[in-house]
Amino acid sequence: MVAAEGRDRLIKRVRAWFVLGSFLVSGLTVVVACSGDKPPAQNNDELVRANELITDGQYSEAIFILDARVKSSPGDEKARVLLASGYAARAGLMLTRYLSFADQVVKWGQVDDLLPTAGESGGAALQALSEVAGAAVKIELVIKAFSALPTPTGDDQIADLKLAVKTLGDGGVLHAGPAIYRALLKTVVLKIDLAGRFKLNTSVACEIASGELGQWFTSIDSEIQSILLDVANGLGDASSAEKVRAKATDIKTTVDQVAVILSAPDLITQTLHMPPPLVDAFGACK
Amino acid sequence: MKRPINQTTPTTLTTRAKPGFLPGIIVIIVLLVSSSQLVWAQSAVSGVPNLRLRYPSLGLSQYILGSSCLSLRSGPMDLDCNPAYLAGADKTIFRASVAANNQVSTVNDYREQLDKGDSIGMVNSLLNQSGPMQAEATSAIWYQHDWWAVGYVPFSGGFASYVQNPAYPTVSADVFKESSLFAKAGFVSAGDENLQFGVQARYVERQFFHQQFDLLDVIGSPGSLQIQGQKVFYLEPGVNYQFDGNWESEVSATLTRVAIYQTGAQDPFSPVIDIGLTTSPPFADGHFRTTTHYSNSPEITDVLSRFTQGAIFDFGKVASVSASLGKSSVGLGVNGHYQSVELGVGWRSEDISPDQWNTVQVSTYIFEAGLVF
Repeated sequence: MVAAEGRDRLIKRVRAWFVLGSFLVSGLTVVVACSGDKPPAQNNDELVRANELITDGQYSEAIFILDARVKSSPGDEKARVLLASGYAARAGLMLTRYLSFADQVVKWGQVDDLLPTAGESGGAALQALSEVAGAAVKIELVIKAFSALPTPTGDDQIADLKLAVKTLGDGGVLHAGPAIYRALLKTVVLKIDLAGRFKLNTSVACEIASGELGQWFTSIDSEIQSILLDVANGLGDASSAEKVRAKATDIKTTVDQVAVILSAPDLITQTLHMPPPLVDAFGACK
Repeated sequence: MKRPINQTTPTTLTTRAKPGFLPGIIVIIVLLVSSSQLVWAQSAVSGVPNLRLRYPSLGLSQYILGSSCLSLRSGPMDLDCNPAYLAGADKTIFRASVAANNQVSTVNDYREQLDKGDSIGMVNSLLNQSGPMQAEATSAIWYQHDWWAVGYVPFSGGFASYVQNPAYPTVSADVFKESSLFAKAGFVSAGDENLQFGVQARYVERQFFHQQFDLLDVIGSPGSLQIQGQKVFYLEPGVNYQFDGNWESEVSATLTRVAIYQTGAQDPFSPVIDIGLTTSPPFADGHFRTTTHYSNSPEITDVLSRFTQGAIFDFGKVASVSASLGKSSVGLGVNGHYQSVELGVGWRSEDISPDQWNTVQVSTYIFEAGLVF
């Protein structure tokens, strides 16, 4: 009887120790498991932190962290893009401010679908009319898109914008989102430069020397080519990218031809009246 | 005082259990599954929860209780989450209901904007969202007859999103929709009437998306976002042990997310253990139940957040109040019925950590309507 009681006590103790031991091991396992859940390495922490700082509007703090990071790791594209976004945010360029611009670009892409086609019963005249109307609408939409582009006004903001483009530019050839981002930022810079570096030297009567207009087309063409190349690199679909590259080549060819015509010896010294679309777009004579 | 358990039920198993070892067995299973869960924890997308991996909610009270419903006997109009609780139950009920939180209307606004072709407006709304968003909705039809229940969930879905860095937006998004069929049954151990087992079989067809991406990457390559699909068959056992005493204490455990067959997107085998200690204070005359619940879910990375206090108070068979309180979540809801019409309303708040420096609180109101017979 006593032996049986002793055995029961022993069994109870073993059970108690087993349960206690299991809980201790379980607790240890949970701790180990949770230590495995710790955030990624310090390298990634900096980027996550900087992204959060930009979200919270603490741009200068984010720039401080990212600038040091880019200097120590120049090949870190993610850090470079975030640094550019920090400068852009400080310049007031949030992506939502591009939405009106994007809306116009989307409409521009839909113009061909909306225009009537001549079909079998139509004639060449109707087809030609349709193409002319399409071109006119596209020019109108480009002008609207350009007007809708956000532009920083203060000197510090413009300096930040240019730093953003430089930060991305130093990264060489970009692809995907960073390439599209650089294209957007360069387009804003181009809009600012059209009122400054590339400002047309027109008279009050809105006239300009033919040769000067030819040089102007040539100088902004390199900027447009650079923007379109980034757009092409940003597109994941190869055929869409190829279409953009083809469009860039078309523009370059047209600009070269126009420049040659405007710089012809018999035309170079003549003054031309500014084309109305350019006046509308850039307010060149105001 | 124990709950009535029908000893003559034909489902009685001839198992002779050793209740003293029960906690030890549970802990061993915890040890086995802990390591596999690290895979899930490391694949988490910051800023949004992985809603499809949560224990599915059939209605308001389960939304409020969260995983603590697995260790708390349901109210008179609800279905027990832990299949072991069905053992010896004396309840026949048919119910059809729909529950959704208030942020579902925001998602619906987005959908309407897209339907009207206003994608720019939709993106604008999304980018101007001030904090994380979490919308959830479910519809369910189920029937319980004492120790067994069957049900069909025509639609259950969730949407959570969080946008960071407005200059170069990073979007964290979690979207899922699923439909499922389930059957569950509970059995009383023949050797010890205090010990109950149960099992739930659940077949789920779902589509989901859980990813963090840079918005401009997607604009350049819209096809880079892929919605995944999967069909999964889960077998989810539960166990419960009732202690003798006035407080009707119980210790229960469930093993959920045990995918025994899956096609389509493959999830790593990662069962979740939930353990709870439940009591029903004698002064409440059996109307009030409370649980201290521990969940081993890998989505919960903070140790203290794994513990939840859950409670239910029944007003007869007419209405129930559910409440839960944890380090990172709190909820309160009430549902009741008048004749065959059932209505409910609740509030739940949850902490979401986009990163290790910040915590954002997401509060939602939950509404429920249905028929009960």
